Amino acid sequence: MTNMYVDVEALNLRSTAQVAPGNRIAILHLCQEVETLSDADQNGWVKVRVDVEGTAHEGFVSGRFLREPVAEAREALVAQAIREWLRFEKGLGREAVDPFFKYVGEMWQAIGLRLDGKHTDIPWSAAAISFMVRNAGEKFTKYKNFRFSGQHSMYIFDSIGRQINEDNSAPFWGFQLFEAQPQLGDIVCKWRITPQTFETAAVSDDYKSHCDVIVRIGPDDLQAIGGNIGDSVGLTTYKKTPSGFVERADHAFALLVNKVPENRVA
Amino acid sequence: MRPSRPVVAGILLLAVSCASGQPALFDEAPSSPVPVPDCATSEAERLRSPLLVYSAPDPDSAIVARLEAGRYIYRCVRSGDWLGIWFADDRVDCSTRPDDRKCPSGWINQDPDTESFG
Repeated sequence: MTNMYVDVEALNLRSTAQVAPGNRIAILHLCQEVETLSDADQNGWVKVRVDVEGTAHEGFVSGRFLREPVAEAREALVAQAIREWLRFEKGLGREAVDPFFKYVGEMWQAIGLRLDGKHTDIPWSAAAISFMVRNAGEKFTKYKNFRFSGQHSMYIFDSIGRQINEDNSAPFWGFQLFEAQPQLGDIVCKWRITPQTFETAAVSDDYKSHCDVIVRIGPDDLQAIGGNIGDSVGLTTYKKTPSGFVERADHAFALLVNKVPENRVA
Repeated sequence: MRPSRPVVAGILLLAVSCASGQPALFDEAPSSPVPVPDCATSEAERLRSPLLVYSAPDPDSAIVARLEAGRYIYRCVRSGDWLGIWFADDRVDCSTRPDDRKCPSGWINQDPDTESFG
């Protein structure tokens, strides 16, 4: 029928359309793609086919925890964020441990720094976001126009400037939190250590900060994936305002809106 | 005019230290070294431009290191216009050092031009 995505952190796949001991086939992860094989029954169960670690399974999931796909380009970036989250065992894989330090090393090397990931005093969260965006660029070339950097402040500055200049080649436009409602595949940013505002970020590209890729949007909050969260790749929850914007809390100050159109590589 | 012996010795010392990749060290310390307290931060920053590191927050103190761009430092403590820093020696940062991560330290009298990651 149609493809949908898991919209909770973990979702049980069951062999029958009921919660019963022993009928769980697998646990599906956030943003995992499923093929729906039926409409929801009166209790909300949907029959699905899904690939779990290379094996196709059919079973039932609670349909209220599935979401419709969004634009392919957005799904591509979300998929890269999820890929890193899974590589780091959903936040349990620690940066200094083999093989996880090697993944951090890959992120550094992708932005041209000869670091192997073993040096844990060098914050790698911006390298992680750059890595996710770069990999999404394999399918959607506009992501390659990202200002890849080990500093979030560099690409925040770039995105704000390109928004102001209405640069349509930019993969992201930077907005104040109250200017755009967050969507999947956007990037939400907050300052660290030294307070920043959108105005200061528009004129400076050199301060400590942190950004995450939005992978789930709920009615009251959203979840986003970033690097160097608890020495891993992890999920962070951001609150939403009643009108649906990212709340200006916990140092959040900018939203980078995904502007990548459907220009998939042939 | 031929250079005097001390000048030749100084040039030789500098040449040897440059050739070995070690920071240039000078014998005379006009003021006593002042230890940098334990570093409050665990974040290393990458230098964009070179730095001279002194043994004390005093321009007349000995130079303990000449750090090139690309080296990593930690901003530890302020003392007036001076900043006490740690700097990684042969490693990228201090995180893989034994002995409680302690790195060589010293003082700089400028705001370092660094790339602060994350």
